[in-house]
Formats: sequence, C-alpha cells, structure tokens
Amino acid sequence: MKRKCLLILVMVAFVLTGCWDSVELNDIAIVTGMAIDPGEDKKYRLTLEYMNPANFSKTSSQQGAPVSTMVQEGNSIADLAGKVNVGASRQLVFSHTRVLFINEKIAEEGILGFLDGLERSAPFRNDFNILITKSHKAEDYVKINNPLEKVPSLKLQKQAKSFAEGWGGDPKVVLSDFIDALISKGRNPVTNTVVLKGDPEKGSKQESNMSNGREALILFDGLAVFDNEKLAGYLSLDDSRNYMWTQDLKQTTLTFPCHDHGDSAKEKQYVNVRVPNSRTKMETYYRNEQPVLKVNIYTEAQIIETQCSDDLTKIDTFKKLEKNAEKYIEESVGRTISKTQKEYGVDIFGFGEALYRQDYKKFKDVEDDWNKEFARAEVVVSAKVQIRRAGTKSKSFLTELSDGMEE
Amino acid sequence: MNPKLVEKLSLWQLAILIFIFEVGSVAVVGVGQEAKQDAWIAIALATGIGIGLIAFYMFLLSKLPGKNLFEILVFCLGKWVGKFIGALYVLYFFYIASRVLRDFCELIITVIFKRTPIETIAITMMLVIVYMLYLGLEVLGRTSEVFIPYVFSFIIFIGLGTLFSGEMEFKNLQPILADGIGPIAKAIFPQLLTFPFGEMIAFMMIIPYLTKFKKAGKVSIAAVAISGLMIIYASVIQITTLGLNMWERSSFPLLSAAREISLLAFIERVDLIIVFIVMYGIIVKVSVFFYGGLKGIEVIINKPYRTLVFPLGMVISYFSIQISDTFAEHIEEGIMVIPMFLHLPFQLFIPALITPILIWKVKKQQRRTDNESV
Amino acid sequence: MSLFDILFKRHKNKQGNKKTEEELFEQDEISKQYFTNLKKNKNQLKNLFQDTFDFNIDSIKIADQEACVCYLGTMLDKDALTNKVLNAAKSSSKQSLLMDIEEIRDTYFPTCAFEYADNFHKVVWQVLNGYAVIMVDGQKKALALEIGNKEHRAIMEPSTQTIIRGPKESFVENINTNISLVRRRIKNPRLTFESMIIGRDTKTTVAIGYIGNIMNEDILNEVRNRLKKVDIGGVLDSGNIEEFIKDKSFTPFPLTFNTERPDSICGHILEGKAAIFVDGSPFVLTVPSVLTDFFQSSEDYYQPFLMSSFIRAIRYISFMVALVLPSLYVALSTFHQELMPTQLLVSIQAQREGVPFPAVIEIFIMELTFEVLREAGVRMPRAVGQTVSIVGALVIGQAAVEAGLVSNVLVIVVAFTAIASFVSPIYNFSISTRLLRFILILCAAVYGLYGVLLFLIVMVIHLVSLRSFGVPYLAPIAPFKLEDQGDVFVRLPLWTNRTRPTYLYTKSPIKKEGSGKPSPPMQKGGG
Repeated sequence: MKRKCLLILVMVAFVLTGCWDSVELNDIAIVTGMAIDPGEDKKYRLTLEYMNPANFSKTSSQQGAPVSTMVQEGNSIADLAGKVNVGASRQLVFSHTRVLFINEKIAEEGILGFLDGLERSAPFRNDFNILITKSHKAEDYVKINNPLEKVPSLKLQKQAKSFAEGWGGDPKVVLSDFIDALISKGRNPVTNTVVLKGDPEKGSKQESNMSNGREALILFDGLAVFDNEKLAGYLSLDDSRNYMWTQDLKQTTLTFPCHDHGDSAKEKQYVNVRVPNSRTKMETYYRNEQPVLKVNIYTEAQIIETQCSDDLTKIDTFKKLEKNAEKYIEESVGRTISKTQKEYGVDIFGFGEALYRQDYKKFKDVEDDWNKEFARAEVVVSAKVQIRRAGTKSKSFLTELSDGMEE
Repeated sequence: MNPKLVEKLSLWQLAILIFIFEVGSVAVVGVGQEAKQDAWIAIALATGIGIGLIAFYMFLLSKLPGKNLFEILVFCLGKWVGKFIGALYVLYFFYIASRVLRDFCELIITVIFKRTPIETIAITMMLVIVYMLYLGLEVLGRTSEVFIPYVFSFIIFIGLGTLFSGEMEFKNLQPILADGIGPIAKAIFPQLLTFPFGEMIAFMMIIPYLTKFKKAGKVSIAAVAISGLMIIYASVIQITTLGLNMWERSSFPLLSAAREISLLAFIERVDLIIVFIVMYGIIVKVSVFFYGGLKGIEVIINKPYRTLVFPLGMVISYFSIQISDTFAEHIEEGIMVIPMFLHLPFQLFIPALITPILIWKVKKQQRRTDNESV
Repeated sequence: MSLFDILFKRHKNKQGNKKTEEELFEQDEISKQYFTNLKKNKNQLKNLFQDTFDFNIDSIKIADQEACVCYLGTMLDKDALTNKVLNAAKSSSKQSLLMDIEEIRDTYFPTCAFEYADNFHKVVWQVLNGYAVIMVDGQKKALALEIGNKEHRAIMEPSTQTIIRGPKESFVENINTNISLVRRRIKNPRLTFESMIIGRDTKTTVAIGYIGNIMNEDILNEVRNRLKKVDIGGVLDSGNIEEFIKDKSFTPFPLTFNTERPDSICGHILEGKAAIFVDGSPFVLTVPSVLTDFFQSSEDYYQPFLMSSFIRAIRYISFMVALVLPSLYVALSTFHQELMPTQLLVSIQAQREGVPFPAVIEIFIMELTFEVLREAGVRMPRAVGQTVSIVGALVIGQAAVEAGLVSNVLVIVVAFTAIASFVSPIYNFSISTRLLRFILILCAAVYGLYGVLLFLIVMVIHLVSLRSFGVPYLAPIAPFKLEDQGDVFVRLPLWTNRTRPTYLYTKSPIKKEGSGKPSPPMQKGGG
C-alpha cells in the first residue's frame, strides 16, 4: 500500500510540474512570411509578417487587416526572432513560414549569415520558398494586398506553385535545395526572383482590394544565379524555363514557329503545344580533355493552338512540327547554358553532379575548379519531341481556308 | 490450469522483438555514414555478418538448452569468475540501456519540446518500461505484437509518401562504389557490426525462455534478415530524399525525410509517426537490455528480479542524463569509444573466448553422464 | 513464472465455503430438522414467517390424513392452487386409505412439477420460491408443488442492443424463460445448464450454460470455482456477479461480456464459452471474453460480410476517435501548432480568439457538461428527458459558443467524440473509453502528443496483461492467432470460418468439414 501511495505521488508530481511547453492558441501569432533587408545600424533588418486570426473568424465580423508586419534590426536572425516581443504581444510561431524574401543587396554580400540558423532550428520547416527581391525593399513585399488571398506570403507560395505547374517557371527552391547546391561542388544555387510593379504604399492599404485593377503586384522575374553564397546575376524569365528543361521540367506550354521562313518574331507563325510530360537526362563526359555537357530531353506534347495552315491530319505535318519543336528547344536551352557559361561561369545546372555520378574519378580531379571546366565546356542539347494529338479538332479551319484559296 | 493457457514468449513474438529492436532506433538515427551513398551496400553486408553473429549466439545457447548467457558464463568459468564477468555484463547492459534512452530524450527535446527538462522525458519513459517489465517478458512480447503492424506500416508509409511526394531522387545513390570497398569496410567495422547487429547479444537473455527453443535459430536469423532489409529500405529513403550531404548532417535523418512528405496537400507534417516509431523502438530496446541486466542480477544474487525493477529503472533514467553533458559528447562517445572498448569485447571477444571452454565442458559432462548411465 | 500463476495460486489458497441446497440457511437461523409431527412443523414455519401477511397455512385433509398447504399467497396463482390442491383434497376425502407421500403425489398430482423436501431448510426454500408445500402428518418428507407463478414481463425487443436484421427477442428477468430461449435455439443434448444458488439473503439462482463437448474443461472448472467462491449478500443483477468473477478489478475494461440478446449468447456458447444466467436479470454474461467481442454485434453475421466488415472497421475507428480525439485537440492546439496545416490552424485560432479559458479547461468543461447531460438523459423520466436533451443541446451548441465561452471547433470535437463513443455495441465498453478519455486529456495537457502516445502505450501494456478466465484479453491479436483473424477486424464469409476461436482451446476446434463455398451449378457441355 505504501508503495502504491509513493507511485501515485510520483505520478502526481509529474502531472503538476508539467506543461512547460504548452502555449495557448490565443497567445501565439503565426508567422507566414519573412523579409530580410540590409539594416541601417545593424547587420540585418527583419520584417515579419504574421496573421491576425480575428480577421479569419467566420462568426464575428472581420476585424482588422489579415496580416500585420513588424520590423526590427539586429545582427542575427535568431537574435531578432528572440526579442521580437519588444513590439509584439504574442509569441511568434515560425513553423508555418511560407516565404523568405531576401533583398538583392543582402544576397550580393552573401547570405551565409543566416542560413544555418534557419536550417538548424526545429520550428523552421523545409517548405518555404526563398525569393530574391529585385526592386524596392524586401519589406514591401510582405505587405502587398491581394483580394484573392488574404495573406501575401501564402499568395506568393500559391503563385509559385501554379506557375511551376502551368508554365514550369519556378525551380521550387526550398532551403534544403539551396544548401545542397551550396555545399555541392558540382552545382551552384539558384533561386527565383520577384519584382514589385506598382506603388507599394498604395498596395499595402486594405482599400486597394476594393478596386479592380491592382495598385501593386508581385511578379516572378527570372532566376537569381549564385556564385556560392553570393548573388552573381540574373537570368530572364525565358531563361528560367530553359533552366527548368535541364532540371526535369514536368509540364509547360511551348510556343514555337511552325515555319522556318520569316525573320522577325512578329512575322512568324506559331504553334502552341502543351507539354504534359517530359524527361531530361544530363550527361557530362570528357572528350580529349574537353568537357562535354549533354542534355537529352524527351518530351510529349499536344497541340493546343496553331496559326499555320498545315493539315493536322497528316503524319508529315506532325513530323515537321516535331522537328521544329526539337530545334526550338535545343536552341533555346543551348542558348541559356552558353549564356550562363559566358556571363557567370558557374554551373547552376548540376553538370558537375552528373559527372560525379558518371565518372567519379574524373570528377575528383577537377572538382575544385569545376566552374572553370564548366565555362569552357562544349554544350550539346538534343531534344526528342513527340506530338501525340491535336486537341478537339482534327483539321484547323485555317487549313480549309488556305485550301479554298489554293483552289 | 491447462499449461497451454500459460504462454511464454512465442517464436512470432521473438521475431517481432528482434525486428523492432534492430529497426526501431537505427532506422531513425541513421547508420553507415562512413560508406556515403553506398551505405545500403554496407548495411546489406553487415546484415550478412549479423546473421552469422546471431547464429553464433544461437550455437552457444544450444549447447546448454534453457540456460541464459549468465548461466553459461557461470557454467564455463566457475562460480566466482563467471559471476564477476556476469556483473560486468550487467553494467554493460545497463549502460547501453541508458545510452539508448538518452538518444530518445535528445530526439524529443530537440524536435518536440523546447522548455521541458530532459529528465522528465527520461523518467516517464522509464516508468512505462518498468511497468512493462514488472508485468513480465510475455507482456513485452504481446505489446510488441500489438504495435508491430503500426511500426512496420509506418516505415513503409514514409517510403511511399516521400516517393509519391516526388522527393526521392534515385540518382543520389550514384556513383556506386566510387571509392572502392574501403569506406564500406570502415562503416561495417566496427560501427555497423556492433550497432545494431552485435547488440543482439542481449537476446541471449531472452531466447532461452521461448516455448519452442529448437526453432528459435531459424526464426531469429529470418528476423535479422528482414530487419536488415528494413534498415536498407530506411537508409535508401534517407539518402534519396535528403541527398548525401543533408543525410550526413542530420541528427535524425528519417525525421528530416518524413518532413518532406506532402500528399494531396493534406497529408503533411507527419513527424509524429516517426516519433512514434522511435518511441516504441526505444521502449523495446531499453526493455531488452534492461531485462537482460535484471536477469543477470537474478543469476548473481539468486532473487527474483521484480523487486529490483523500479529502483534500477530509476537508476538507469538517472544515468541516461548523467552519462554525458552535451549531445556532442554523447554522440562522440557513441562513435569513437563505445564500439571499440565496450561493444567489441562484450559482443564478440568474451563469447568467442568461452566457446572452446563451453564445448569442452559440455563434452566432459556428456561423457560423465554416459558413464553414469552405463 | 507469470503473473497468471500467482493469481491462481492465490485463488487456491482462498478456499470458499461451499453451499449445497441442504445448507441454504445458517443453522442458528432455522433448525434443519423436519419433523414427522405436522404440528411441530407448522409451528416452526409460523415462527419463521410470523408477521408476513401473505404467508398462508391452510389445513386440509388428504386421503383422510391431517395435512396442510403452506405457501406465499403473493407468489403463486391462487386459482391454480385451488384447482390443483383443494380439488385433490376434496376428491381424496372419499377414500380412506392410508397413503404415504409418494403415493399421494402419484395419485393426486401426477402432472404437477414437484419436489420432495426432506429437511426443513428445503421446505422454507420451496415456500420462498413460490411453491405450495404440502405437509402430511406422519410423513418424513413434504411435497412441494409448483403451482405456476404470477405473470412475468413478456419477451420483448431488446432495449439496449437493438439491431435491424435478426431475431428481435430479448431476455427477461425469469431465468427459466431465459434458459428456454437458449434451448430453443441450440438443440444439442450436450447443452448443459448447471445451477447454483448465490447470495446470502437473496438466494438467487445462477446457472452456467455451456456445451459439454465444446467448452474447455479447465476454463469451465475455473468458472465453477469462481462462482462458488462468490460471497455476497444480495444478487440483484448479473452485474453483481460480474465484479466477483473478474480476473482483475482495477481495470476500466469489462472482462465479461454481457448482453440481453439470446442469439448473441447462443453464438458465444457455440464458440465454446460459458454463459452465466442470473435469475432476475435480463443481462446474461459470457466468459471468457476478449476485447474483440466488444466490437462485434450479432447482426454482423446476418448482414453481407463486406458490409459487416466495413461496419466493424467503423467501430474500431470510432473507438479510437472516442478515446483520443479530445486529447489530440488539446495536444495539437497547445503544443504542436506546427503539425497542423496552416489554414486549419488559423481557422481554429480565429475561433479561439476571445475564449477566456485554456484549451484543457475548455475541453474539461465541455466534456463534463456532456457527461452530466448524458446521465441526466438516462435517469430522467422519459417525458422530461427529451426536454433536458434539447435544452442541453441548445445550451452547449448555441449559447456557449455565442457567449464566447467555448470555441466552435471544440463543440464539434466534443460532439463527435460523444457520438463515436456510442458506436460500441456493448454499453459498458463505451464507459471505459469515457473514463480513459479524461486521463488522456490530462496527459495531453502535460506532455502533448508525447504524453498521449505514452499513455496509449501504457494502456496497451495494461490490456495485454489482462486475462479473462485465463484467456489473454487481447487474444487473437496478441498473442497473435492467424486462424482466428477471419472474424476479428473483418468478417470473412461464414463458409470460410471453419474453426472455433483457438484461444478458447475448445474440445472440438473444427466447426465443420469441407468448404461449402457457394457456387452456381456446374455448366454441362452443350447447354
């Protein structure tokens, strides 16, 4: 009996002394986005965007803005996050952070300073997008309202996802990818960039949601290329899709000319195809001490729009279009790779990793100056496109029209 | 009562215990980092060696059916020397039990709790184990029977989940055998050999209490083989999902891998599953070592172990905190010191040493009984 | 050695006092001797039943001998008594043969159910049982005649375990009726009912029913022993017996199965279990019972197997829901906000804005309110009960939320938990989840999900350590029996189910030979 009492006492002790880690929902604020700018006095200036739960209540009338932001300066991210309560009433919960905006000025100086903190701490998950802001302060980006999505950061994450699925323009770089690329000797990191169009002052007002046009809008604007941890430069939006071709792009929509004749872009006639499925294989090898970078792209496509009068019921037409598409892909991807070679000289594509897998010994020899090897390498892109079907109509009415004209 | 109604550990339960014992902590902590992307090859080879090891242990046990490791020690080395070495084994088992417990506490503290003192985790876990062992070995076996479907299917689920979330990159496994066999050998010896496979020495305290001792050999070999496959599966998940670099740097790679799961935009953030697998794995592992130690004390002082469960359990939870001040110290000891100076002697050298004595003594005994019967 | 042995050794030491019918009463209470002298007997009876208004001793003459009929007037049908006894007395008055008691019975009461009482205890016993006892002067025995009882409650539809398809009978309070309900279903000569009397004051008849060539002898002996050892003042329901024969008292889980459905009891008896009937209780116990019994309804076997398997899955899931949902809510909302999807988190947070209590207190308040309502609903007179539940629903559902005392989500959690807890077909199993739920909430409040998992593990450890009459409580799951899996989580078609549960160690483990798989008639060539 005595022993039982003792046991109960022990149990009670554990119950009564517990609750160290419990936090009521009323006492937390959920951080959804962060923006890092260079600080005026200190190293960083951190802007946190957190949700205002009252606004999301279904029952009571919506009070206040859906998010509010809070700005602070400090020397390390953890330091900033730790003393954030100088201004905020609630404990901040970082586990739902969706987007991290980094001002390009910070990126140019190198972002090593805070990556470790983000990776090490348990609350940060590995599912937030890292974006480099090209214009304005990063701080402005977490404030821009949108009538469809109440929370700016959630809007941006959704935007990135839809963009990746629709056009293939987002490399889906999350923290772990970035760090992986940073450490790897055969690859350098990239991230997506955003640019702010419009007036951030007006865009951050709730009233801006009342008008049909957007006062301010955040757009994706190509890739940021990093040389190790430092921002080296940018690639355009088209280049970013070409970059994605090399990275196993899954889906996209492709517009390419259906004839070779015609010179300027405006004169040409175009075919538009939807690519539902595509596969990419990278090979890197040495031919007589000359590195060769080879990209093989296998793509399926279906026509969704055509401006040409070719008869889409003929095999030959398909063959021709396929050839044109292959040529278009090969040229554009090749162009992007050579541009990167020349302008930045850093391997953002992971050719080095391909070599590491395919010829380990050779890579060991060159790993320390792989970027130099990359810059002098020969680029071979070969695409194989198969157009499977042509939408709901077989012959285009354009074909009928041109047939009529010929007769 | 009908003897059929009184059950000891069945073969099926033994297999389950071995499986959870092997997989539970290893799948999560991650092993074979020295072998880099070839870790799975190293694990496969180590599994082979592990099978040899359990066969060796079974051989020792089969020489004296129904006797556990301590009784064999006493039989071979005489009462005093045998008991002395037995006492060392008891310390060894308790030490490993507290180390394993510490592993788990570290996981919980880093992943789930920020402010909760680590001691409470150790003590609450230990209370559960104490309760289970107080009720006996068969309760341990049966509890594992209840949980095995979850442990098994959760590990499978993590693999499928990461695969369908599109997070697996099988090219992360290339190049195969880049640096030759060297790193693999380094990974196997001594780390993989001793942890998790050599730790099965603790089962020498359990296998003698089986209902069907004769088939135990085959069953435990099969169980080791299956758990080897499972560890390979887990490490392939980890390497393909995280990439080599991340994998090497993660304290709890399977947890990091599971964090990548995102299915149907709803099934995400499934860390809890991992914590559950580890939790039960740890409970089994600590229980097996603890039970081994308790049984050893039973042999040494000739008293039933039940009265000792609670106090010794508390001692283990105390030591699990005290063995090292920092996580780094804990891990470094685990990698550098323990395998060489504790695992190897206790798992390999002493058993190997007593083998000839055992064979000789058993033969002598047989001859004597033969003579007597004549 | 296992706990189990210890348990039984303890039982063996505690040899209970055996009761036979001859020693029904304490010796100092009533003397045992039956006199040949009628007057002495009469006086003794009169002393015993002194002030009872319904006790009658009518003097009659049977076959020219002094005799008397004694009975409790409220216990039997007086018209029948008049018909049987007094008519017999009348017709015998013409004869003047000396007859002993046996001859009297043979001659005058050839069709009546009867018993001889050769000691005084038995006389009193039969009077108490509603028999008319005829004592004849100079005889060594008295004759007890069953006259026919007053009316009982008719057999009705079960009120606690209703089903849609299947027999609609339920047990009643009378043990004989109950046994007949079982006998009518199982026409097996080896179906045995052993009766015994339990209860110092109530002297309740308790019967063990089993099939002799199926039931395991050891388990049966254990049942007999435990029943014999029951020492209790009054048995008013089978629930009283249940507490005495459990293997372990300190557990929230029911270790004996109870039902008021005869078909369900028959199913259990056929599997090789023993049923315990208690006079005066429409709830019959079966032992040994295992956890999975409580997830099975007899209707499972009357509906198509796919459907029943699905329903069973629903039951297991709702058991888990009823157990952990509130604690999960507490753990997720106060410890592990990161485990919830962002949208869900923010909508829960939005609802909790302005709620003054911590989540634990909030859920405790609501759960307790619900328990109070449930209890009130059960105890209230039917007519008021409706009102109470409507008021309760309004108070909980609307007013509390609108007043900002609790959040919407919490009401959903509590309501869903409550509904889920009603899914178990056996009422006293759902009680156990109610108790455990509160402990789980506490664990969640202290250690979050870690606490919940820890407690669930402790619960499983406790469950596997339980035994019901020597059979492990988690039997076909742990220890795992492959042969029995066809009727645990799913119900396979009946023709696949060839064996009785192996964990019961029955004498004839095979139920039937051959597969009996239904198939369309073989096609013959041509056709």
